[in-house]
Amino acid sequence: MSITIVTSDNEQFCVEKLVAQRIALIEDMVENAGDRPIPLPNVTASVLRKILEYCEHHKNDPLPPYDDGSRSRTTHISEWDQKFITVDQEMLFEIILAANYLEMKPLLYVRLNVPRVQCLTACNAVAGDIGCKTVANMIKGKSPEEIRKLFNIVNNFTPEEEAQIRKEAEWAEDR
Amino acid sequence: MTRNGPPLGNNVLYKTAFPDTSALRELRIDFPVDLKCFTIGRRTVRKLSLRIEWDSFEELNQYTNLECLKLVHTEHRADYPSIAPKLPKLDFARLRHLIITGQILIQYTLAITSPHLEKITLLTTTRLPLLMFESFARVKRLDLVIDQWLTIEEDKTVRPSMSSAYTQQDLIFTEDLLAQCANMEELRVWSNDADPGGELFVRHVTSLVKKGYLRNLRQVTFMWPRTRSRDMETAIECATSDLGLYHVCGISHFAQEARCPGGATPSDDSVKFRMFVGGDINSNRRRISDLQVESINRILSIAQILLVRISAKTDEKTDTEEIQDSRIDSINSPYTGRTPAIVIGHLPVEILLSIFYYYRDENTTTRLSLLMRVSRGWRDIVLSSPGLWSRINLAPTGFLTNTTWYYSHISTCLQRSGDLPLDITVDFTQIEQITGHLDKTLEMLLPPGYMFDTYGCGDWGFNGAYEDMIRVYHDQFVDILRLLAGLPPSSTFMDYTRLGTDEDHIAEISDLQNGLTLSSRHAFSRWQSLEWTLPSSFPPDILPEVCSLLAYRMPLLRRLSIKSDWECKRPIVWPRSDSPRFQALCQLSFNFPVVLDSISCNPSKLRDLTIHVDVSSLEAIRRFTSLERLALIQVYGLPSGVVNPSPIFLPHLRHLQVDAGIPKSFPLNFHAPSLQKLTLVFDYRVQLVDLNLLSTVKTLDLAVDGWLRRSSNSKETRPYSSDELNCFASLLNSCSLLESLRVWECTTDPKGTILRNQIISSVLKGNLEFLRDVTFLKPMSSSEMEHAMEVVTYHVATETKKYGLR
Repeated sequence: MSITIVTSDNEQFCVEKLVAQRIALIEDMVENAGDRPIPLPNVTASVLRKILEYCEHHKNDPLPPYDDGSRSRTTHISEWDQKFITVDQEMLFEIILAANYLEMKPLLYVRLNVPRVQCLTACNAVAGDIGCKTVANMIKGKSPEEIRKLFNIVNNFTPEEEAQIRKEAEWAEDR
Repeated sequence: MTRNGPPLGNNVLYKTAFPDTSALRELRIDFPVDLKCFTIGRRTVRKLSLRIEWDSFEELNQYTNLECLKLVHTEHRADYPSIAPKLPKLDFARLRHLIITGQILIQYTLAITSPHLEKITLLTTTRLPLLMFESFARVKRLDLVIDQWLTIEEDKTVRPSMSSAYTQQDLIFTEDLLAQCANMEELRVWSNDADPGGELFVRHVTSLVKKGYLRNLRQVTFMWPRTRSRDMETAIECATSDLGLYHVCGISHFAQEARCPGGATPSDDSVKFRMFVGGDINSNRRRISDLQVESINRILSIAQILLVRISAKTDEKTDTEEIQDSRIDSINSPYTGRTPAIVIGHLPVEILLSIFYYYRDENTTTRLSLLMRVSRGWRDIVLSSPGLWSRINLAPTGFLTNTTWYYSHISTCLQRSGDLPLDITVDFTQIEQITGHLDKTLEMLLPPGYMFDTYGCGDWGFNGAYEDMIRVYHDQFVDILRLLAGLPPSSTFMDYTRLGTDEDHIAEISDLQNGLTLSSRHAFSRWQSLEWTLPSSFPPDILPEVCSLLAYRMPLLRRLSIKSDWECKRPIVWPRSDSPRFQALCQLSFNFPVVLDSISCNPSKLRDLTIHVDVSSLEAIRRFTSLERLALIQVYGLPSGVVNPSPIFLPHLRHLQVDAGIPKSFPLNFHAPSLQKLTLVFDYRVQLVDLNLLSTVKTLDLAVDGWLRRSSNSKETRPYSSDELNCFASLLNSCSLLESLRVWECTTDPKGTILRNQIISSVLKGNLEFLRDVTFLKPMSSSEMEHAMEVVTYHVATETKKYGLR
């Protein structure tokens, strides 16, 4: 059995139900949609194609176990996932945002006042987690200036703040 | 007409003679007034500004031509009714703009009928409170002004970022407010120093848009207060987000251009600054404003914000483009070439935070300081997220000379983590051993070919130094644990502070101690997980000392793991306790002998246990009937005894890990009907495993003990003997429900070719009919099985097809 998904740029995707059900938002919508196409007004075709590629590959994976957040999480990414997420920055962020939107878990947990740690742990299930891991890996080992350059982040500290931060940094690195 | 001055009594005011007011269009009264006694301008005034009291609302209906109304709350008079009065409905046929303080909406249930109302300006004197107002639903424009934000630069003192950052409560109230503005098209926010460009705020607005609210919202503008001015309209425009191009995250595209007119170089405190904002740099350019900006630093900051958002493609060359080109050239990014429409700044805070959590977990907590130095936004997120600080990871390297830094770091984490449960890791295995340095020194002194060992440390007189060093490390380790527990450090701490003799240093230490005392009080009651790793060089007497630190009640402690490579021959006994000390404990792991019965916990809560095997621990395990995972470690040299022959019933056990040599010394008589996964750490010969345990197993992990201890680069190889292969086949054939097999392998058969053939042979004989895949892994630098690297996975169906069967 398959379902039809329509993206924001009006492209239609015919998706195996087993694959689509990896996406929590679609799983919820399938119940009410019947045979009608499911609109995804916030996801473009190019991004959905990537998301579905991920779902197809992981369709038989067991759901990750619940974690209370007390364990350290690893940024290790499997070989296939690594290839999957080797995209340009824009696509990387689009995948993260789309996965976030499609899962809706972060928003849901925030609304339910679940503690932040649990909320984030629950987010582990989303495909966007690979994206978050990738961004974390990109940041790893870089200086603040390098991080700014990498992501085009503006240094909006005032000179006074800069001086204070530099002082803190000297202390932090004095080990 | 404006009438300022000290408050007048109402009875005085209405007697005051006013000139002819037939042409009065604007009236502003900045003191409480009783409108019943004040009748001028009721038909003519278009713009009215009042400090209004509860009994004057009714009179507002007399102002029939109002187009703009500003209502400011007042202190209640003594005759204010004990129950909030019900206000009459207000009806303004021409009203377009309502300016109102949040306090009025809190004090009164206000109902206004105004068919032409387009804009509301909301002023609040503190952080945004929870406000309900039905008129919000109609307006197309909302100006949100939080007075506190505007006053921050009034006296040129910028408040610390922490206090001006949005709290979670602020964001929830903001969300509730904005969600009421169903028809809003434009939002202007008078922003604060923590979020001048509104990046945090916009992310929150974006999340609302994603939820389906604010469907008509097109633009959000952020205003920054000019120095020494609280006037809203003289605030400078700091950033504008065009939501018209909403795309996945809500704000897809900023294409903004900044230029200094006439090529003027900003050089002093008075510089004209012109800003263009538009969705498309070529076709949709529109001028927002000419801005007189007094602060050159502010201009540069704004210019930076704008420049990085400039699109790289326009046909005509401009000054801006040249600046932009040089900017882009300077960015050594793997993805440069153009500025992407979606950048990291578009990620919602919760996702950014998730990235930070990953970053933190891969580094030590200390690296958070790097994130805090990237930008103000990142700094605020890190500082306002106690969860990031609730994991304290201390893994000192080198000679651990700067203990003060570690103590300060503990204090910082304890403070910034608020009241959150703490996850603590202390690993002393990476500290530098003095013997290593002695080796290097002596190697340089000795002629080539001489072995250092032939001389011995003692001959060189270093033995004493070595022992002293170990003692120092030992004391520092204990001090760190004590500080984490909120206990005063031992005397060693004070001894080391004496190393610094100058007054500043002593004062610093004193402050530190005070800070620690304040921040870490009862810290042990917040411990949620503890993972302590002791180096093998520590004397064995540290174990009882460390365990004695865990003599307090720790109601939140869920995970406790202590590792020590020291060969401990006598099991550690925990101090006696009358009530359960670790009420919440669900995971317990020791790699040295411990008297399990002496650990005061709730047996029904323990789910995961790693413990050595001896007679007493096997007997104690019977109490833990809720266990889901059990790992049994073999420790040699422990006194033997008679094992209770009755089976140990573990109804919930799903995963069992055993050193395969254990059954030889201690028969494992388990009844585990739910067992799904078995991990065997064995030394080539797999035998003596209770076959009954295998009948339900679906996942089998095999790790050859000797292989794990070798490095993955080891060249040592040895073939399997036929006896070993028979043992392997026998084991597999007993796992009739087996679905997945993983083998930790690195030398003998690194790609599993030999074992694969063995498996295929079993399958072809009709066994292992459920087996799906076989994975071979090799150990990485860590000896932890879960840190191994996958070498190859064979899918059984594919492999057997090659033989034309199945």
